[in-house]
Amino acid sequence: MSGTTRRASNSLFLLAIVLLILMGVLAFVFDVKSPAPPWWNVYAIWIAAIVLITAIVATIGRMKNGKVLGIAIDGRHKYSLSRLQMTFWTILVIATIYTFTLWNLGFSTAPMNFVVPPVLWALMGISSISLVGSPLILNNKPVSEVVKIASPVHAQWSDLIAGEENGNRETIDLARVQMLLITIIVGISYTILIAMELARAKASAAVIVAKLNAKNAPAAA
Amino acid sequence: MLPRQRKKIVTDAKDQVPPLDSEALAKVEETAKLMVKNADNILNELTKQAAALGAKAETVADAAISSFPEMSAGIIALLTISHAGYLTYKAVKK
Repeated sequence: MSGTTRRASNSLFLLAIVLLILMGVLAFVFDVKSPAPPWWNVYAIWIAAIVLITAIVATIGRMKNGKVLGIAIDGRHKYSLSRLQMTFWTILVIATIYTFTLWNLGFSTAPMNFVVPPVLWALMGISSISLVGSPLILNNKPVSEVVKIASPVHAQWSDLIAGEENGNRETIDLARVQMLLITIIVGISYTILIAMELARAKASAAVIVAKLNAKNAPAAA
Repeated sequence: MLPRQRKKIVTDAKDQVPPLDSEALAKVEETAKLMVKNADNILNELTKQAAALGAKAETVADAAISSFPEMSAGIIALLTISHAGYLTYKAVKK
């Protein structure tokens, strides 16, 4: 990795962190008491949080392994399905926690007082088990049997679905394909559920603003 | 010992309140009425503000996000089976 690229990655990493902090400051400014501009809404907060956290994760991966998704490359220099999955859930859940907190600043005295359902804990736990269990299983196999690539730069997307041993490296691993598909579908579905919750909050906020405007209108007149 | 002499309280002429004429009385009455009216206005305004604040607190709470979305336990079972299959297949020698 060249010096210029490394400096660019470092700058992007710091910029993303600064912007995340700036979002927190904006949330203090644009609460329900001082009507926010139209571009400041719960979706804007959520998308910005996802983009910025993804940028942080991408710069970490690029700095370490020379690829944007380098965080998902394991010790054998291959893309790891369990690492990719854990990265996805981490970005989604952390960005959503941040969004909920910033949004609640204007509507609640305890902005972080929201419930994380046990099902979500279970989901994160299952991903962690795979993340820890996967290398444990491979470490118990003879080194000569497990596929290892020379450099992380040569990691390929096909690593996610190909066999991990020399005996099946050219074949598609059906268990991995199934897990990838289920993760994509559940991930998209849960993202939609979060978006629906945000839509409900946005609609309630619009009702509040309308009510406040209606109450203030006769007084102003 | 000589008996202690009682101090005689003398009221000076300057301490005495002069009797109010009808014009001054009318002014006092007018000021008192004005004060009562203002107090009523302030009380009404305070009551309105308190009611508005209460209503706002009630509706504002609705816009707060109180929970992550729920997910069916069946989905988790599906994911668990998928992960179990993935790890088991990984453990088998190919």
